[in-house]
Amino acid sequence: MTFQVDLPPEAGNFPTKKTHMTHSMITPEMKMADVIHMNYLLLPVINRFGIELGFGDQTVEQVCARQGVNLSFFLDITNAYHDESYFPKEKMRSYPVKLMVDYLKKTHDYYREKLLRETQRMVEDLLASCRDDCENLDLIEDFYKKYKKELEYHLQNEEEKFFPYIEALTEDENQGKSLHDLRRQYGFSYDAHSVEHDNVISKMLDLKNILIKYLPPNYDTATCNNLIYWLFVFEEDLKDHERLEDIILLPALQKLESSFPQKP
Amino acid sequence: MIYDIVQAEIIYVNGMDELNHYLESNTVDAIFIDEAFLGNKDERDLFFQLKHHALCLLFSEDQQAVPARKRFHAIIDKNAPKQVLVPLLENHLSLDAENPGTRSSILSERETEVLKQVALGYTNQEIARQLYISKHTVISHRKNITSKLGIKTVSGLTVYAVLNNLIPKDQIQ
Repeated sequence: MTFQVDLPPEAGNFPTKKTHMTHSMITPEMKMADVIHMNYLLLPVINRFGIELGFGDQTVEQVCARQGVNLSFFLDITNAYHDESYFPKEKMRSYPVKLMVDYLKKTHDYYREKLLRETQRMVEDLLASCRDDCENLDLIEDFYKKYKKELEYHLQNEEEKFFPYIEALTEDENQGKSLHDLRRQYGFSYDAHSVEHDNVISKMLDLKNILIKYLPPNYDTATCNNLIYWLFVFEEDLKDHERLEDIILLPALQKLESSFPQKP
Repeated sequence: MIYDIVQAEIIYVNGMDELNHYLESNTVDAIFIDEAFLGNKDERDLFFQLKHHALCLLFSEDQQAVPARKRFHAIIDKNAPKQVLVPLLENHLSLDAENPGTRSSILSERETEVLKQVALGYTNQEIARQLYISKHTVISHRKNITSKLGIKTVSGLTVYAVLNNLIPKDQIQ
């Protein structure tokens, strides 16, 4: 017996996770609870705005007002996360740099305190569930440990160099200083920044593929499934994060830089 | 003659010019060559390159008398029973008996060599020197490896190589 699923014509032949969900936008009048019902992956995103659960029947607008959250920024961030095709670049570049940087920093905290730690725990669970010949699983653990270290270094680097540099460019006291001096002061370079992003996402994809396609299954299946679900969530978040940094923040940085003198 | 061995799409070309023309815009898994159609040394030398991209089998009247044998994966007696092809095709193409016709995602011998070197931490330049191929060829092998395996980074490829016993674990840098 086969089940026929009627997809709207625009969904195409291969529905991805995102097209499975109702494609409607998040609006100010929508109840915040319904936002979560529509896409539960938004939970941690909403938390990053300092919003916690228990909103009763309050609308998005009401919750944002209560928490002192910029409504328009909240809508753009959540909608972009919810629907990959929604990405109003110009509008998003017009938000104050500090607003975007604060959101990105919160995202970093979430990676460090939640995603990386939880993934580590799941990798350990996977190892503990090993039946025999566990050398292969050690490889996975080594890979993940190195990845974790790299990502932590990358996050730290952004927090210590990239974010302070871009914030410095918006500060009055730095106007008129030379870019050369400011870059040196904050240790920022474009090249190092873009290469790292590419690697962070690629390694996550590699780890998923190794687990799904190549690792001999001498472990507890449910434990490995947990890890894989988690990696999918992690990857989605990283992609969104990378998009905000590379498509919104970097051009914003370039625009800011253009008003500074190049030479000391 | 091989219809009943593998279910495959078979293209006939008449001579090397037609073969070259076809390969410009198509990829193939195997090339069966009748020696009678091969002319000069230059035509044989072409297989030196082709050998890295497809299984090249030469069919000959007199197996022993074939010059430039190394240009081909195997020289096969024209009158040999077709069963001799089965192990060759299976080994080189990693044919999937249950899904005939699906394109193999298994690495070729050359790709496996390149993968080992990558996993051992060598640069493209170093790999090119060790395998006597151009850096450009190394890069193209790496692209194929990544698209076949779905693994892009050096550390991911290293894990794959160890999982498949291509390199010993203690040689990971």
